[in-house]
Amino acid sequence: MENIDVVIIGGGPAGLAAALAAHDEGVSVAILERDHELGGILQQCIHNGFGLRYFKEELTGPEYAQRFINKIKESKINIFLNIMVMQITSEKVITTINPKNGVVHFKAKSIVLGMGCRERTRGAINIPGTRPAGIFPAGQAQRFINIEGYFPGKRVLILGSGDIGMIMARRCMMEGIKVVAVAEVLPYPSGLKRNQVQCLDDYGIPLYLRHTIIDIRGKERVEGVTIAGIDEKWRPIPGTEKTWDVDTILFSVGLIPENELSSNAGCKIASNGGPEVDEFLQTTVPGIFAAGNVLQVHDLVDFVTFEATRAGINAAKYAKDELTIKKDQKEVVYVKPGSDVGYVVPERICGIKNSKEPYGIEFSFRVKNPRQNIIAEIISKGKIIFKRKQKFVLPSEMIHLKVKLNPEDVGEEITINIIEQDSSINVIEKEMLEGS
Amino acid sequence: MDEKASNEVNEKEIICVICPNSCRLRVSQDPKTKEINVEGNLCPRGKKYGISEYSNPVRMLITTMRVEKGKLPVIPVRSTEAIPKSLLIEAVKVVNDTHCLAPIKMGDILIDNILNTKISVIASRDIDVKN
Repeated sequence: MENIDVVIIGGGPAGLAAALAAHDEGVSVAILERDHELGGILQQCIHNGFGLRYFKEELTGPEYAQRFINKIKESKINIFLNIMVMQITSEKVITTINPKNGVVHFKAKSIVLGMGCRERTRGAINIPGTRPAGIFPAGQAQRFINIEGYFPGKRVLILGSGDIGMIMARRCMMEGIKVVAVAEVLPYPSGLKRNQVQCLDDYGIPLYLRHTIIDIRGKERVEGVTIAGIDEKWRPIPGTEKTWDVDTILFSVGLIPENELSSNAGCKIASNGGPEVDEFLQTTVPGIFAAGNVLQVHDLVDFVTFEATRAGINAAKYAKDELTIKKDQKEVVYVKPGSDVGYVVPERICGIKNSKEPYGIEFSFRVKNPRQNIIAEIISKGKIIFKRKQKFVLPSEMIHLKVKLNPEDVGEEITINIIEQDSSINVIEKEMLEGS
Repeated sequence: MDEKASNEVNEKEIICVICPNSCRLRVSQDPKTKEINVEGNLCPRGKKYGISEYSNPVRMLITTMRVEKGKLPVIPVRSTEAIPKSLLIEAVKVVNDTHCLAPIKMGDILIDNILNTKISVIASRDIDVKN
């Protein structure tokens, strides 16, 4: 059995940042990674646009990863590659397996979960048609092209207009793979406008909104696909069918936090698919922390880094027995998603009730619908205790609220709402909003 | 994108991608004075974007290159700055016809002065030699 202070599960962006932050706190750290190298999904995201918040410059995914990997290699952090974590217990014993040493156990004082997420597949969204080869999640096709160096096919239809889907459309066209169309069930593209312009419009790829796949043809290999417009109940509208001969279909239809290890360890899983955490990013199992896409699916890696840095510091403090709130979590305040809010992280706050001064908390959440001119407000004991104006909110863009709340304003629970800006707000309130 | 020229004004519709406002810009050039006119923008950044996107649209070159003797068969590469959009597909072909040899470090110049743009293509990561 290997004894280590802080064990990090996963060597992607969350694991790398958590490991460095914990290491800086002076504890022993190990990263357990199942792939043959560190970096996680960043290694296949070869496009640029990463790092604007964290490094204040625009990097590609591999460059963003390489900067962290270089730092890790200079540190005393133990790196274990090609190692699969089979089980984590609530006592923080980690069972792993690897081809050289077989089964190896680790005993940690604290753990940071950084397993990321996996792609939703065709099977998960009830798409009719045959089940031939040539149907891939978009991220898997991205790995084939960008890391393993081969093409998934020659003529492609993409379902889902998330950023991965649109970026893959451009990547395919650049390599001479014809993208016949992108179809999206929602009435608006689910990725960034920038990607719609630079990945689809630049290459003349049509985007069909409010459309879905109604048939896939082919026995051994995909031979063709048919899409159709859908009504408000998501039923296909007769007469709107469009058919193409294609050999490949890519699905970019969402990401799911990967939490089998977490739930087996006893962590309570929240409604968004990630473990329920407190303001220290600690799960319901004391000493097990979570950060990155395993906790909530992010749209910017920079925020994964910020989040995982906090988790790494708190995990190290827990290992050193310095985390102020550890066992006594009786006076918990629960955080509820209110109107038009999908979920909120953290789901509970442990330290505010015992705090003698305004208590700093960082919330992140997503809205359910695209809206304009809104107010994000925090409500407790029937009163508004914080509000902030925002011009645009989109389901694809995570919202971050860094607030300081007065302990006496907070009851047993607090709610975060998204509401319309009221034109009748009085002048004082307006000034308060402008200033916040 | 369609770049049809009409006889009098060469007008193009460009969606500004600087912020989520996504202004629909109507950009045209006066045939005599050559002055570029931007309408439909809500802010000065939109005007700047409209002019640059109209007169000389540029994009980053982002693709992969074959690696010999590397731990992985391909390496992600990028241009040191954005290149003219019209050269993008040709530039990808140049990259596809070039091979590099491991070991490679992030930032190594793999193609110098691609298509006489004075812009280089560099490695996005390290790739070690295959054992």
